[in-house]
Amino acid sequence: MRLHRLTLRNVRGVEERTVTLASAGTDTGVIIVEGLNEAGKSTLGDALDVLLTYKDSSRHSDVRSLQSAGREEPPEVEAELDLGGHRFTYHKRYLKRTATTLTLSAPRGEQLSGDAAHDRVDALLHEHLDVALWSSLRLRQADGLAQTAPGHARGLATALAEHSDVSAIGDRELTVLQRVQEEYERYFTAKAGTPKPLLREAAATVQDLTEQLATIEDRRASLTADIDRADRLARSLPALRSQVTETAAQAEEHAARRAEVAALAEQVERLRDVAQQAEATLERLEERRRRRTALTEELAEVTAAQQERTTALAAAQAQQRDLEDRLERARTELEAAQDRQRDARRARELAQRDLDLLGQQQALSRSRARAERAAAALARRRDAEATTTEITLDDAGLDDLRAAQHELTRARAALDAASPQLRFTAERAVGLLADGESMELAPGERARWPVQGTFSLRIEEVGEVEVLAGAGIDDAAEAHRLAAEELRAGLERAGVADLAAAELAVRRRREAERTIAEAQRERETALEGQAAEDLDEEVDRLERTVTRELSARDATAPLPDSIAAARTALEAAGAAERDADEGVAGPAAEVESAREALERDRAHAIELTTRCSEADDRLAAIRAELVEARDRSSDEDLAAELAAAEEARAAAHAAADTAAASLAAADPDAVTELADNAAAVVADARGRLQAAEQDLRDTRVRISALGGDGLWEQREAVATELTHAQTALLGLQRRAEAARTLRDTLERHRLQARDRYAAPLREQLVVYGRMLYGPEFDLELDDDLRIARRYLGGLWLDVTQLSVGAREQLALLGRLACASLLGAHGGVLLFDDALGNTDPDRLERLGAVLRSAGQHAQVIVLTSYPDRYRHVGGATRIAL
Amino acid sequence: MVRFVHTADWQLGMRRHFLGPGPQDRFSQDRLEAVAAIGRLAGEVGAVGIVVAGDVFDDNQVDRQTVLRAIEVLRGFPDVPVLLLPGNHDPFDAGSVFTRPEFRESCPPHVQVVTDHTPIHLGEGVEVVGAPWPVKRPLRNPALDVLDDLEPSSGTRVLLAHGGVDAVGGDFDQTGVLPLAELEAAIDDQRVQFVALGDRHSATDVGVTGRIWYPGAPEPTAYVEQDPGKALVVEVEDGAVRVERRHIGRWTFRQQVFDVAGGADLETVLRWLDAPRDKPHTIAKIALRGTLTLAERTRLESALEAAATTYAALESWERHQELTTTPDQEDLDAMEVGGFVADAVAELREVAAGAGEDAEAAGDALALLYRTVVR
Repeated sequence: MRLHRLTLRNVRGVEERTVTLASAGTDTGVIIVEGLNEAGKSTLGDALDVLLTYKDSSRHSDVRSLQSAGREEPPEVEAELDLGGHRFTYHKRYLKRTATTLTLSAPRGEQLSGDAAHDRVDALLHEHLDVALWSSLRLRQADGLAQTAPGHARGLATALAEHSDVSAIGDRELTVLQRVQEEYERYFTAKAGTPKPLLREAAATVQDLTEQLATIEDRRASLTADIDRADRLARSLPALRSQVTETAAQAEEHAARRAEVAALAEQVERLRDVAQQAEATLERLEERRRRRTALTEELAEVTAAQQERTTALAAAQAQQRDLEDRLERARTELEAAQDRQRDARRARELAQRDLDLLGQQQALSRSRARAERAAAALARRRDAEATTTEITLDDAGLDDLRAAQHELTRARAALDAASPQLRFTAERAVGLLADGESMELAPGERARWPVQGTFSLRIEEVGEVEVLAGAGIDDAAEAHRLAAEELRAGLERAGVADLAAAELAVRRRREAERTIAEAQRERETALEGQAAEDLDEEVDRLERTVTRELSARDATAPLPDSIAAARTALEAAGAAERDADEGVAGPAAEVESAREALERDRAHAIELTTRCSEADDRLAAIRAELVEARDRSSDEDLAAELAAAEEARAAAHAAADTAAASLAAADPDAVTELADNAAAVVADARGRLQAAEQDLRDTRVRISALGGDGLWEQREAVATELTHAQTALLGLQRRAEAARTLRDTLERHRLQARDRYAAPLREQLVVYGRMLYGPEFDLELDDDLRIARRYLGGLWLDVTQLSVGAREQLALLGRLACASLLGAHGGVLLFDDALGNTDPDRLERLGAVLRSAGQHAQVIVLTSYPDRYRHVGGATRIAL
Repeated sequence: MVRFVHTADWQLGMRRHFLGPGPQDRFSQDRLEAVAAIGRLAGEVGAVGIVVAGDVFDDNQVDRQTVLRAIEVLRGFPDVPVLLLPGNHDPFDAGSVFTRPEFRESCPPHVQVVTDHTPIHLGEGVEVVGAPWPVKRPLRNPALDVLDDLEPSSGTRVLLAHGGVDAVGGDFDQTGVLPLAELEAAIDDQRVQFVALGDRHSATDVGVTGRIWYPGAPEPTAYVEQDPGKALVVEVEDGAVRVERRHIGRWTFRQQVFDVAGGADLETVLRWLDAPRDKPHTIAKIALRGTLTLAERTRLESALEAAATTYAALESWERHQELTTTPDQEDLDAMEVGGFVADAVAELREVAAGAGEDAEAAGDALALLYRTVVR
């Protein structure tokens, strides 16, 4: 696209401005539009955008931004353009009286208006211009550092493809890639490329069914093993049964042989018994003979011993008589000594009792005196206590009474002083009755009465005077009455008539209290800490003891007259007793000696007598037994029986020995062992048979349990399902693999193509870069064909690490390189006051770059600082 | 003249892994229906009995439901002896399906499981001696023991046996193989007059005597079977034996490897795919070798996709599959791609023209691209 002319009317305060950018026949080159700030440079670019983008009916903010503040006239924009071989003038009026006109002059003349005109230009733009890229190539002040991202731009791609002679990354190709990517993402995640549930679940189903199948196969294997086992067992049973039958027959034979040997053994046993009995018979007869001999010998021995014992008995009896005499004598002597001893002891006991009695009598006298004193003191105290009980008045009460008396006296005096007084002087003897009290007055005698309340004076035979006291004495009268009443009440409480009686009573009470204290002390002294009852009891006890002792004493001798005399008598009696005791010991020892000797002798005699008696019994028994034995068989018969028995014994032993020899020859141990072994063999065979039968039954039970489950069909069903699942999985995997292969191949080729596209862009950038920075400049592009890194001064740096000025320059270079490659296919490259951060040295070199780019594309620079671009050679300069 | 029906290899309870749930249900139901058809055939020809030469069930551990359904069908059979021989799939071992309660309690009285060699009178001079498989892998075929014990017979003695015959090729279990010479010797010396075999799923006249037969499976079960879907009507008259094959089955297995090198070959493939009339009862396996353009491949894929929904099953025969996708100029023109996409297409074309997984992935990627842009 080439812009030849742009006319603005009523746009942002500018009434009308026409900028002619390129003369006819010049479709490239650098145009520098100079103007001060606010001169409307940016407005040129904005107006061109609005013209190409919005219909005249639009009220978009971009459109309204063109409107002049405070002016009625609607904004109008008109441009003269070359685009894809078309030359046209395009005009629009916005907001009011809207209008669009299009006048095409090439390739042929044509006039359109309204939406038709707009649509036609729109179609031309989209046909011949990559609008998005064109828009991105504009470099405004505001986005001075931003690089354009032309990686997916169609126009650039086409241009690059032309330059690089490689396959393009066109819209259709990208659409194809997108569809394939969608197919790929049915099976795999977009980023990690891991299988999605669709694949995973299919694989899990296969795994699950494989495990199910293995389980069923295991059960079938177990069942098959059991079936084999059952068949094997069933086949083994006949042989096992035969074994049982055969071994049982053998065992029976061995058992019969063992029975024969057992019968032989029994016979031997029986014959041994017979021989044993013969032995016993012989033994019995020999015993009888031995017994008879022994009795005869014993009879002789016992008879001789009996004679010896009879002699000894006679001697013992003689000695016994001598010892009896000796004992009698000793006893007589002992009795005399014992009598003496008894008398002396009695005398000493009497003396002791007398002494004790005298002591008790003395104790009784003392205790009795103490008891009497205590009783007298107690009586005194009780009398005094009666007095204190009777007289309740104490010293304090007396003091109260005295106070009451004094108060009454004082009240009386006060009353009297306050009361009117009636004085009467008798002129003659006259009898008066003053307030009921009769009195006599002699002539000239005077009487006086205080009048309190009503006072009456009756004068005999004259009349009665009644005096009434006034109210002036009421208080004194009341005080007097109260004092009198208190005294009266106190006397009544004390139980006395008057104060004198009260004082007498108090004196009596004090006396009684002293008496109580004295009596108490006296009693305690008498009791000596003992309870009165205990003392009384002691007196009673001593009285009873003394009385009893006195009455019990039956001695002719009088009671000693003192305790000292009694003690002397006791000592004398004790000495006499000791002498008597010593006199008894000798005779007593003799009596004991004689008695022991006599008892020994008597015992000896008794023993001899007993033994003689026993010997007599024994002799009688021997004789009786001998008589009885000989009655049964005489000594001669016994000898004959013995000889016969010896013969019988020898015959029995001979028969038994013969039978035993036969038994030994039959080898009974071997016969028994064989029979036992045969029985064990039968048991073993039966055991094996039973075990096999049991095993077979058990196995059949298991087979029956599993065999009805239809394991084969279960297995086949699962195996079928597994086959289907495997087929499904394989199909799925194959489709997934196809999608992956296709997607990976496409993506790889896209990247390869992009890398090859990048080459001419990169080359163009390097050319411009070296013009700007010198020959060592180099760079790397990213996927979107933006400059990613710059090489300079022996250092690779990311663009983000570069200075603001350098980034601004690279942004400009990127656009210039794109525009250069696009050439006639590109738009108008519009820079709005760029390079604000570029130093003067670089500006000079940039001038060369701009000039170079301007040879391929139309480059319009809008600037308030024309000096920045003074190094651009051959530029058209337009001043606003 | 006496007739009996000879059948085998019902293999009830069988599942085919290539069948989806719906087709599998149809397959199972139709196989039961084929058994019922055998019963009707026996009634139709006035058979004195039906001998089933092994593999009544696909396995001893089939579902209870499978057993009960089989018995229900057997109840509908004519009231003549039906002899079921345990075969290698359902041997009479400790886990035999024939001893399971649901079988024993429901089995109709005219149905007899042959458990030993005791001769069984089938009717009108026909005697059957069975050689049931006692275990899945016997040391030798039990029929050989039976033959060892037999004396020549003047009547019609049928040996009911199961297992592969050595003279007949095929993919049978080598356990318990039967030497043809032994069978023919037994026929020669009159120990048996007919050998009713089971195991091979293709109806086969074995040897040269015309008296040793496999009836094949009543419904086909695999691609390799040559004449499946049959039952045999055996007619015995005056010592002569005549065997007639009667078609029972409904299902078809077909497989094909196609060499493709352009539009015409693709048309052949598409016609082959479209050919079967009863596609819901057809199971097909297909392999393509050669090169297709993206447009052809897209067309093929869409045809296969459609066929997969109409056929009972459509398998890819991976063993023979060797298809290369090569975009031609028309493909590229149709895609209208340039730029880096065109570069990518060039690379993928190159890889796809090679071999191995990368080539396959590249071909798939091209096809995907084609579908993505040409729509």
